[in-house]
Amino acid sequence: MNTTKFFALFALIAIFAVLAACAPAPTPAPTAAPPTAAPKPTDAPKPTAVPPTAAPKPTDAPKAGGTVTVYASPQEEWVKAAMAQFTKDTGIKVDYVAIGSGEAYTRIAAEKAAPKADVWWGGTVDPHIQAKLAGLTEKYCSPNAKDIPAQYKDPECFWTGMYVGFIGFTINPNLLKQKNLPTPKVWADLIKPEYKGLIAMSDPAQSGTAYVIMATLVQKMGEDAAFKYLAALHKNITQYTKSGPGPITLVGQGEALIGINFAHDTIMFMKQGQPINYVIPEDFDGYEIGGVSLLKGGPNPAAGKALIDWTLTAKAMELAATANSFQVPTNPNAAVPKESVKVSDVKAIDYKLDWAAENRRRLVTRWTNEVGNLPK
Amino acid sequence: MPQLFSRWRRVDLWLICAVGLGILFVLLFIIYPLFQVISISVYSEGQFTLNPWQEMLALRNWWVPLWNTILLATIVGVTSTLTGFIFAYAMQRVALPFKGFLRALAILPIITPPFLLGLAAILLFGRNGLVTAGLFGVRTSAVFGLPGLVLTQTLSEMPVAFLVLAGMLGSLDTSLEEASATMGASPRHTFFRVIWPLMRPGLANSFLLAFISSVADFGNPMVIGGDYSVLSTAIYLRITGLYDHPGAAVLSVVLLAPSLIAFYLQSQWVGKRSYVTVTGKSSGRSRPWNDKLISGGATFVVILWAVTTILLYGSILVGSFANVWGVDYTLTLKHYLFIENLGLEPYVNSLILAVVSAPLTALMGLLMAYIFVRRPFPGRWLLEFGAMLSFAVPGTIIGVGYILAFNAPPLVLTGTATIIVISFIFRNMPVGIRAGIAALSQIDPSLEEASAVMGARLPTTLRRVVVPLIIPAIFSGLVFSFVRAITAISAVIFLVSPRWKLVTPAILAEINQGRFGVAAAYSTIVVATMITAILIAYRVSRQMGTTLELQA
Repeated sequence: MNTTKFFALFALIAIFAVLAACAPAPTPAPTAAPPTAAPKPTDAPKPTAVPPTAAPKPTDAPKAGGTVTVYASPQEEWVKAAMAQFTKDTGIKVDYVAIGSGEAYTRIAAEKAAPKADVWWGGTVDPHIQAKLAGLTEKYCSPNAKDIPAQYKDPECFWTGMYVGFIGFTINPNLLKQKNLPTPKVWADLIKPEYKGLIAMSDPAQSGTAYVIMATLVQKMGEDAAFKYLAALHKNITQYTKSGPGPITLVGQGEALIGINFAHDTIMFMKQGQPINYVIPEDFDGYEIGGVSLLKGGPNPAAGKALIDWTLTAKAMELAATANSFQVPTNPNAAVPKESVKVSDVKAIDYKLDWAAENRRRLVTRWTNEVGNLPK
Repeated sequence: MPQLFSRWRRVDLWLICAVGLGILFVLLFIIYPLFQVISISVYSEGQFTLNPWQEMLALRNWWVPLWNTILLATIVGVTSTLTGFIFAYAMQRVALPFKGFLRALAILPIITPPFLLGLAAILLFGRNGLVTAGLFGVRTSAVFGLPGLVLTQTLSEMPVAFLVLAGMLGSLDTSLEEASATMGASPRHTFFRVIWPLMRPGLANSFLLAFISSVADFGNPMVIGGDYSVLSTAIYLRITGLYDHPGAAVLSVVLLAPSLIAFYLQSQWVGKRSYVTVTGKSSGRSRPWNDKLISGGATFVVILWAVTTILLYGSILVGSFANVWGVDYTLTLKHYLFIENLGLEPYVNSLILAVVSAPLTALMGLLMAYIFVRRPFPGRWLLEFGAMLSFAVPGTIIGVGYILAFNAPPLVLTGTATIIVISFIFRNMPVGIRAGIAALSQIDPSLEEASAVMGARLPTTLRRVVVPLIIPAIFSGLVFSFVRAITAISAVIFLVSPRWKLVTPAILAEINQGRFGVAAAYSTIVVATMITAILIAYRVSRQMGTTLELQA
């Protein structure tokens, strides 16, 4: 009876095949071969509680040099330009992965036992604050942060703001005109019945952008009034998008006439030729900060600090606009791109970041229960 | 029971090794990572807790995503299996022009990164859609939500159904049909009484595959789900939007319920009957026949499907050259130049890792299928279910689970290409298993025994008997693993490293930034490469014919 041996052969091939897969890729890769770690199927899985000191450390750690590993959350065009310039200026090489801020936080949290990256570069600061609370980041007061206004940085230096973005209303001027509708100017305009079914915003239960919008309203109006407003706004919403910039595309395609989102995102889409424009609300406005954090237990903290120092210089921040990123730099010495929102136009509230981060789950749950389920 | 013992008496070391290996792999690379994630839902800071459950159940309408998920998956399971069957049938039994072209077209939806199909659907069927507003003058946002999801998921799941069913239909012994015809049955009667019943395991398999991959899909719901909330996006957004890992773990457990049910029903429906049809190598190719209703109906469906697919892909192609996606169709090369500026490494990496993982995936799938079909052992359904799990769970969960499981000793894999390859193998293996089971359960084991009795040694039997009979299944598995590896997204987001960036996360990033033109250009490059690869593969397999060696 030979049949039993068939799959024995299969099994053999599979073993060799899997082992082969662990060797460097057979085809010449453009990048270097990966560090190899042959999985021994006989190893019994063990719990992963290993102190961060067990992380492999490159030998060239003491002096800033070698390579810095970065999780970067802004758009890659900017990341690439910035990292190339950093290497040019300091001689430190950069390995980066472009990864959205929510995913970056999840990844950093999951890698806690043996961190793989040194710096979390950019992305809205709310998950940076969560990372601080979860003990994933390291205190670092960069000397270059001294000029940055206090409201744009963590008093305890766990994160530092590198850009600011303001909430705006994205509009489709042609379609508003076609429908004979006025351009909304203040928040109260958005709940007028004539905009029924024409407004898009991201879902507060799912998007960080929408949460900034909601937290702004709550901080300015008071919680109950804000929820009353959101319930009224709900009647005018055609769609809650899943991502923050989602409404902009809908407005560009005419699926909605007004979107609520960050103005710098709208500006980027305008630069790409979308038939849209934006309005900064005249009564009050909220904002996000993009942060940079040093990760706890990363392989090369010295190089990580050097990257943070460099990032906070005016020169580094001015690079953003050359790579289609139009947030407002936090360093007052950096020139504000001409495309950006004029800070003098913005009536920013005193946005309480920590309060917003701490109350997120509660407010989102309240929104889901009291607003999200209402009929439109 | 005596039968069981007589079976086990023949068991040799090879069997124990193979089963042991299968169990070990499933435990290590599927169960263990999943356990890491799911334990978070009841375990916090060293203590057992039910807080996350209470918190999730306190949400009003918490069951809506669950219901939505099941409803969508059921619809998509039926529609994609049906269209896949019609397509496979039409390809093999109906005289159609351009079959080669149609076959290539059938594979297209799985070689496109998932997000883009949704975007293209909005362009075609949205409020300002080319078809809805342009052709029919209808202005509606109906494409967002259930209708759009059914459309895009049917399109993306149909190829799987097609691959599973075509392999199977191709290996049906045509002499059965001939016998039916000889005995005076009409073609229609033969179709419903002979072909359809024989296809049941394949149909059930493809329904199951479509059902669970619809449950696990998050690309399409993200883009055109609108207000229609499903579990996979709810889990993803709970993780990335609220950093609520325990809540996400609760939802993951909830999400396993429909997959479990599908798996159970499937094994009840097909499990207990024999579907052996290949008792000798089938002699003749069946001729196309002329039942007008069946052929006509099949042709109509194929044409409708082909037109929709061409329109969707046409809009991606056009979008890659258009100045502004959906707004300004001035031709430009700027999106391709943008990609060149960012570098082509992600694309090359994706190709390399897909090429490495595809044969491994197909082999693992076949090995598992062989164990399940030829060597049933007590508790095999447990192993089978374990193997199917990695396919049924959204990639987000797998990705996070892999980091938790393989970031620290004893097994450090994060940051390597290995972890990506392993995730590809174990995530895509179930398709190989399904195809292998469907193919193997049609082959009478006595064929292999006969070969052995006549003195053929193992490699010979394998090469001359088993492999030729299941070539379509192997090939489908290979092609499918390759394309799934390239289009995988939700798991690899968490596994890519600076040295091993892949193309799909790059596309997702561009879509998140709203650079649809760039995303379309990336996709066009990927799709073009894969069409070329698949055409070459088909040509090679055809030339090799039955003389195909195992190592090929």
